[in-house]
Amino acid sequence: MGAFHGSLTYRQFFVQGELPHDFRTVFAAQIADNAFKDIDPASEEERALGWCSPKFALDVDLHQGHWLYNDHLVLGLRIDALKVPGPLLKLHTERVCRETMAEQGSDTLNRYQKAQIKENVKLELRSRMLPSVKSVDFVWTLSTGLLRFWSANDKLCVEFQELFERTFGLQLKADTPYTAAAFGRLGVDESVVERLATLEPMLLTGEG
Amino acid sequence: MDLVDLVNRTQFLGPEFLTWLWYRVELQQGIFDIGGELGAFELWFDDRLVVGSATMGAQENHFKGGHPASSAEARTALRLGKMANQAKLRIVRASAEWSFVLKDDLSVSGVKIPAVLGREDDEQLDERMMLLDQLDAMLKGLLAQFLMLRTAPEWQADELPALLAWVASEASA
Repeated sequence: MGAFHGSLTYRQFFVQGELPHDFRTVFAAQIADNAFKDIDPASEEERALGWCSPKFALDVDLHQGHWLYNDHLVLGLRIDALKVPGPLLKLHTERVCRETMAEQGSDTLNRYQKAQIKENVKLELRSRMLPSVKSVDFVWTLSTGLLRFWSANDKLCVEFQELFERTFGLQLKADTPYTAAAFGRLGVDESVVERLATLEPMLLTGEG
Repeated sequence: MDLVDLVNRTQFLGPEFLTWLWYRVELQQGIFDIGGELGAFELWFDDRLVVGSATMGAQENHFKGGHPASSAEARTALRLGKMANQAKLRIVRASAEWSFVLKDDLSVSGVKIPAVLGREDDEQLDERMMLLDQLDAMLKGLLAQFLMLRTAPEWQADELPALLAWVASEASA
């Protein structure tokens, strides 16, 4: 959510590095390589991230018409999670343990049997569950190199940054007072940037 | 020092910028001029303000409702050495108005932009980004003014003493 409609909560980044001359072709392949891929319920994977259409999170067939809008490169970061809730796993594991003991006519199971049952139950429950799906848009204005990511969540911002850099081969730097000055976003002299590095915090209590 | 170190070392500039803005809003009755294409606009602190200090056990004061920036409680928090961590701000330029919460890491949330007129997705996207770019340009213009002042001899000679005097003074409301 965010790019076309919805709430406007975001964090800004500066894209560092030159756009490839034939970026439409280069990016098309790189985006496709990093498009979202479903979690395999038979695997251990509990969370997956990848690019999706900013207009429909379940659409991961990302041709150019899905991510290039005039001067803006827009994609959704899709985050799926497939995790069996602990209490549910415990309950169903207990059910299967009881069934197994009844079948075997025994009063107890050993540690190995219990672990095996738990693993099987987990896989069975995972195969019956649908993952939770969330998507967060980003808009990269190609002419200015300014990028907005529609979340201020620190962990998600780091994951987004890693996937972006892996996909596009360009670095993302968070918009902070220092980076804004150092990357020429404020139009201040180099001498100002140099002095920023030596500043000490001001004290409002007037003690320093 | 690499970039990460420099960014971490200068993190205090975020709360300082917000606090300076608070002081300047009161001093200039909310009128700012950043020159260039955007020129003059009004900026006001709205009904939400958070003050805190990383060096004071991370204790924060959250003010909500009314006009906290001119409250005695908020001014008292400054006198204890705290600074603004986030504030709901309102900017009015010509007939356009932006409302948003600015945090000291420069992230913004709950932005309300002037009405978007485009009907097609592409047009809406262009308009939304243009309006956010204008907001960014105004904030960056103010940040540039702050950083130039903060690194100039005038900071110690004039601006900081005046800011400290404002902190020590009684709030207007």
